[in-house]
Amino acid sequence: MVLLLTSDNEMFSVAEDVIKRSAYIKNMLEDVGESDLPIPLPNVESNVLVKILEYCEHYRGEPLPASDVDPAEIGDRSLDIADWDQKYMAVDQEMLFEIILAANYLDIKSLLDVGCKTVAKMMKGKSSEEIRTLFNIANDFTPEEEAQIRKENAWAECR
Amino acid sequence: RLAQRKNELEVEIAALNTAHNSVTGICRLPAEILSRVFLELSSMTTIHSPVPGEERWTKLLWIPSTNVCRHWREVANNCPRLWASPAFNSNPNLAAMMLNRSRHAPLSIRYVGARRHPPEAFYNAVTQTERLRSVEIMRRKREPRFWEIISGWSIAPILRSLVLRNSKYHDEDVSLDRTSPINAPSLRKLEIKRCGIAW
Repeated sequence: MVLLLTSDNEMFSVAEDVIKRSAYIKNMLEDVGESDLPIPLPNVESNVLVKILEYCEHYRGEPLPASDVDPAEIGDRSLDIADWDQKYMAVDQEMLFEIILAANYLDIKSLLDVGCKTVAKMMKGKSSEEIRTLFNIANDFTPEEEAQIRKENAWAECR
Repeated sequence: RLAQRKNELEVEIAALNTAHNSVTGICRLPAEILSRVFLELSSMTTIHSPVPGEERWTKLLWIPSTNVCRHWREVANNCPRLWASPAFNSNPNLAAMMLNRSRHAPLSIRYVGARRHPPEAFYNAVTQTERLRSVEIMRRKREPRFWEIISGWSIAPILRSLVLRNSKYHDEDVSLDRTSPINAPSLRKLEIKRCGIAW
């Protein structure tokens, strides 16, 4: 078992084959070897770690990704999100971003991949204004910048 | 003075909005993750006209998402891979802008020659052999300038796929015979149709 200590000082005892989906933890275990000391996770709160462990538990036994996903290959890969992953990601925005940040920190490539796809799907088919509303973002462009942007948006849609 | 005050207020409001954005949930995502979201979205929403081989346009429905706020625009504009498949079948200004923003990223070129002439950015792109990753060109009109450029290729170190097709004619004026071969050590796919090849 591996001990993990979250930023809000909660201790988790996790099976090694579950948490090894995190390349960060896996490398640490390989470097440090067996230890009774907990691994501190200063960037992950307990409620987020619970969610992360749910993901790792679900994919327990599945082969780990062989290597890092080359972002240049995005587009050659499937754009689909598995049913289970979609349900897993059906959380409020705050948790969604926390999961993505934790997946990035813990280096869980498949989870980061699903997180990015989920956000992209939320934005799909929406205008700039609709995306602002969706994520509570304010339009901070000056009128001159907006004029340039309108032009670029029009280029992208013209046939 | 009123106009000046109005300008000052607009700048102030923009700054306040930027400050507001910096604490929103999604803006906590680091630039590399936001870039990745843009890349996923671009894969989902780059639309080519529906009839294969008769393609006449490309729409990039993801572009407005890069213009949601200053931070997003900056992140997107500094993600060369996002722009590395310039839409040559779209607006020429867009193609030039994309090629410019792609900087040194590996290029994927796809062009169906339905237009009378390809945009200038297309010719610019096909000369950048050191960063061509895939080239797929379907011509419906004779285009000597393009063949001149191809004939000048000497080394394409990361080129994986090269597809050249003339769809409406067999171009016997054009031949790919060359005194020195193209050095393309990464090439995995080569497809040449209706082009004269002198062996």
